[in-house]
Order: sequence, then structure tokens, then C-alpha cells
Amino acid sequence: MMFTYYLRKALRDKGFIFWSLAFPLILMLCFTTTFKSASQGEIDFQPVNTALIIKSEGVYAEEFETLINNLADPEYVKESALGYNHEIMTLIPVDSVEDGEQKILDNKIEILFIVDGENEKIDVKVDDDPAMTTLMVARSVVESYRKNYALVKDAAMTAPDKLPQVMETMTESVSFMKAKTALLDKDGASANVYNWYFFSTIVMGMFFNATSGVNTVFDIQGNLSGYAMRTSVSPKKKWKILLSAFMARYSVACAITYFHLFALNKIFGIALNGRVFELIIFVLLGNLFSMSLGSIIGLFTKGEQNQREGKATGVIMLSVFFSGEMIMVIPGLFEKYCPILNRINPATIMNFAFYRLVHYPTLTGFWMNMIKIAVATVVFLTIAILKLRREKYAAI
Amino acid sequence: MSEIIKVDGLVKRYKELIAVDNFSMTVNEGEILGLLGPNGSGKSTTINCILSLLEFDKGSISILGKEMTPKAYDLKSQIGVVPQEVSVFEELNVYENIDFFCGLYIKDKAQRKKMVQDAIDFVELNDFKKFRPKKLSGGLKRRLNIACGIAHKPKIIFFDEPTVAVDPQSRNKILEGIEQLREEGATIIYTSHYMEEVEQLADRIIIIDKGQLIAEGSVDKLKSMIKKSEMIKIEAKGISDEDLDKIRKLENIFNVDYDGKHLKIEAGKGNNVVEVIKVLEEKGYRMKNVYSEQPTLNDVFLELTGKELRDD
Repeated sequence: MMFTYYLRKALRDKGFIFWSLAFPLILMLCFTTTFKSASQGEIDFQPVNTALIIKSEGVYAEEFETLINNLADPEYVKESALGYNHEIMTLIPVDSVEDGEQKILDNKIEILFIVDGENEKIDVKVDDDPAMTTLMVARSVVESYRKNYALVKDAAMTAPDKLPQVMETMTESVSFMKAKTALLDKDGASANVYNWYFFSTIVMGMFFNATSGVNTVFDIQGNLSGYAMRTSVSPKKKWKILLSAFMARYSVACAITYFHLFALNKIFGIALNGRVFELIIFVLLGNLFSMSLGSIIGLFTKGEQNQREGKATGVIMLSVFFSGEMIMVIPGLFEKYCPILNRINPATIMNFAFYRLVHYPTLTGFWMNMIKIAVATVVFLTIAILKLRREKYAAI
Repeated sequence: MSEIIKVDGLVKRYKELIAVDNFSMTVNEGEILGLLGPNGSGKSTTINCILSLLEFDKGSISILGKEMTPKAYDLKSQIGVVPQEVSVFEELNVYENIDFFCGLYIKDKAQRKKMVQDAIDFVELNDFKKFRPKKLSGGLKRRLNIACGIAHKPKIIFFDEPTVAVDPQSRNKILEGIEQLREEGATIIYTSHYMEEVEQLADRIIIIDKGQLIAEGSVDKLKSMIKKSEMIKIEAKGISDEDLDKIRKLENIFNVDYDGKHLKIEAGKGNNVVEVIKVLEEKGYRMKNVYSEQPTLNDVFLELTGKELRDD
């Protein structure tokens, strides 16, 4: 009886349903509108006006020039697996770095690559307010080249006859709308980087259930709400009330995440790799974590219920923001300057877990992330239960 | 009447503040006990201690002869609570709310269904069964609050200021309902800072202030505890100081206040109105609107504590 009513209560909680169910779907829809065609290579963007300056010679500069020339060759691109029927970039001749910079200011070129072959370094200059396509092309070319240069160098030194083949492979690996995830992860996953946004949205949806944790606290703590006071003075055992209230919210939370995953796969067309068991664990643990986190926030912060829910949402949003939900490069920046943040931020841990679950051939990384979340959940839940099962209060 | 609740030497401190100070009381079976005191006097704290919701520093509480603890489920099953705030779930409708709270006490579905319907009939919310609380007026919400506390037909019911911010019509309905519950055999502990309500309802009253018991007894007994037994009000112009002194010197008169038009006289027991009128008639004053008012519980409170009971 209690479970049924707590379930009804959860299902009729408009705020909770909006933020946990509808909002992630809306976000996914927005991402799809923005990225879907991009992720499928369907954007027929105009070739990007590009210039190349070789500051000093060397294999590094030479092969980079080859790569640029390939990308500027319409026939080469058409025949490649890049998926475009025109060249990616149009090469514009420049005399010097200064000339190139002037041409950027004059909007004659969009990207200027300056290659230092001796030091194996590439500088990229773009306009102050570059187009998304410009940035994507610039970044993809440089990152792909840097990442694969070891192969190029190796081929040049050990089997020069194989170099054209290596270059061809590399050119095709410059996937403009499928930027590599090297910035995010060094394990070598090869997947659509835009999936990160979708995965992050799923995690965000789960984390919004922290408000359910706050809600459960208010359902149970007799010193926080009148209805909890009523349940506290009733002959029902506290743990039964706690279990009913928690499980009702938890069931709804998990059902919503499974629905999100279904939508992600069937409506938004994101493959989930068919690892059903791990996916179930991921959802169960993710929601348990967010609810336990919410319970802790509900128990140890001050204010009315909506104020505590607001605080929980604030914590979640910060965690989600740091995980790259809005700006994908953030985890990459943390990885570079403060990697500990990626190791301890729950949303980043969950995002990586999901990413690894879907894209990686092995699941070691996934399970490591799940263990971290499980440990945090056990700690939070233990504290929450110890406090929630109290039946007498110091003050009401 | 047997003793149903016994509180002995209860002390509750909030750091430096003593909210309940060595408070003792008993509640007899079948009575309506009014716990009267200003806001912050310790009424709700006492109730919460009795309900085993609040930790307390000293004292003992027993209900039906057994010590009240959070795990005294057999005692808890006999208690109903109507909290001061409307304490219902906004997401559930009237019927569901009553069913939920009744369900905490009654497992049997058929029995519960009947009890819920009885409670709805009792608070006259039949037309609003499917309404969510936010669609109800303040008075109707209060009635729902009551229904949730009494649906399981408890032996002992605590009403903690159930009429705060309620319109007079709904207030009367609530008070009538409480009387009916007593007639049906419930023992009621009613806390309020509205003296008229307590006076109207309670068989016995405990006046509490600063966590201490100030006085205890029936309305008549409490009123008899104070010197003042009536307030005489007379409208008369131009009474001289000499004549006012004459009135002051009358037996049983202990306070005379005159503003040039309104004469207010506080008097003890006796034939005071007749005596005062006699003095004024002798001097030829024209009198209009002569009243004699009985003392209120506020007068009792004022005389016992030196301050007004009503703070709103």
C-alpha cells in the first residue's frame, strides 16, 4: 500500500518528471538536430580555405603537406572513404606567416597551418570568431596527424614504399565529423565523439534523481515535514516506510533511465553495443548513487524541501558540467591540467563508464568506474540510512 | 475516569533554552484536555515529546500505563495526530491521502475502505474526494488534515492548533467535529492559543507558559482562581474624581478606569453592578450601555502570568 502511494506520488511529481524524464529527451532531440547529420557525415559543408606555411623542412612537415594536399584534392577525397564528393579544403597560396595572418583578417582564408618540421610542431591560426566547420576541420586534421605520425615516421624510416598506403589510411582517418577522442581518453577508443553528449545526457538524467533522494528524506524525517511526522508516529516500522519511499522513487528513476536508453537506441539511433547485463548494472548503480547523493544533500543541508532540491540540482549540474555535457573539451582540459577532477567527478566517471561500455572491446575500465561509484554509493547510503532510521529527533 | 496519559517531570532543553520545564500532567479517558498557552510556550514541544518524536532531557511519559517509546507500536496504533500544519501529500488526492495515512494503521483493505469513507463523511469532503489539496480552500485543507489523523478511529487524538488560519465557519465545523469525536469515545488533547476555543471545548484546561504548568482545572475552576470575577463597563459623561473615589471604595471593586466617557471597573465576586449604578444614579449621571462581562481565560492568564495570552 505504501509503495503504491509513494509510486503514485513520484509519478505525479511534475518537477521530477520534467527534469528526469522530459528534459534529457529534449536535450537529446536538440543534440540530434545539431549533430545527427554531422555524425553521419551528411553535412555538405563548403571546402575550407586553407593555407600552409612550412617553417622548417623534415619528414614531419613533408607528410603533413601530403595530407593537406590529399584533402584539397577533390578526386582523392571522392574516392576515399571520407564520405564527401568534394575536397575538404581549398589551398590558398601565401608568402609568409604575416601574409597568411593578413589573409585571415581579410577573410580570404579560414585556417593557416604553420608547420615546424624540425621540431615536429604544428601551429594553427584561425579567425577570432571561427565557424564550427573551420574549427572541426582544423582540429581533426592536426589531431589525427599528431596521433598517427608515429606510424608515418615508422613507415618512412623502415618501409618507405608503404608510406603512401599509410598516408592514405591516415587521410581517411581524418574524420571531420567523427573527431577522435584522444583528448578525452588515451585508451584508443574509436567512436563518434558526439555520442559523448548523448551519454552525458543519460548520466545527467540519472543524476537528476538526486532530487528523489531529497524527496525521500522529506518523506521519512519526522522533523522535516508534517507528513513524515505523521508516518513517524504511526505504528509502521521506520525501515518499512524508508524502503517503500526509497524503492518507489528508485523504481521510477530506473524505469526512466531504461526508457532514455531505449529512446537513445531506437529513436536517436545511437548503438549501445548489446551488453545488456552491464547496462543494467550501470543504470541500477547510477540511480542508486544519485539517490544516495541526494539523500545526503537532503539530510545535511538546510532549508525547505525545494531549497534542498535546488542545492542537489546545483551539485549535479556542476558535476555534469565538469563532465563535458555542455562543453565537451572540459574533461580533456582537466585531464591535462588537473586529472584528479576527472577521477573524482561522479558524472565524468559515469560518462567514461558508459562510453567504455559502449565502445571499448574490454570492460576493465567500465568495471573500475563502476567500483568507484559503488564505493561512493555504499558510503552515502550507509550514512543516510543511519540517520534516516532514527525515530526521535533533537528538535522539530 | 481512568488516567490514559501521564507525563511526569518532563524537561526539554534546546541548548540554553528550556522549552519544557519540569512539566507534569495527566489526561483522563474520554475527556477533552485543552492545553492553552501563547505561541512558544511549549505546547507543541510537550505533544511531540509525548508522541516520542522528540528526545527529552528528563521525565517520564506513559500512555495506557505503558512507557511511550518510538518502538511502542501497540500504543502508537491507538493514537491519532492532527498536526498544526496541513500535513498531506500534494501529489495525492483527498481520498488517497486519507487512505495512505489510514493504511499506516489498518492493513485490511475492506475495513480501511469503510474507515476512509467514514472519515470523509465526518469532515464532509464527499464532493472533493478526487481533488488534490492545492485545489482545496484553507478550511477544506484543514478538514482533510483532520480526516487523515482520525480515519483509523484512534482512542487518543492530539489536535495541535487545528484551526490556525481558518475562517469562522470552518472553525465551527472543526470544533463540532471534535466534540462529536469525544462523544464517540475518543480522548482528546487539544492545544491552542485561542482561549475561546479551549473554553468552548475543553472539560479540563492546562495553562502552560515558558514550559511550565501555570494552572490546571475546569474553566470555572480556573476563573475562580483569580480575583477578578467581572468587568463592568458603563458609558457616562462627566463623572467627578470624588465620585470615582466613592466607586473605588465599594466592596469588591479593585480597579476603576475612566476616560471621561467610558467607565471600566474590575470587580470581584458580589452584587457589583447594582452598587455602582446606585452611586451614579444618586449623583444624577446619565448612563448608557451598561455591561457586565465575565472574566475570560485571558484574564486568568493575565492575572497569573502578568501578560496577555493572545499575541495575535
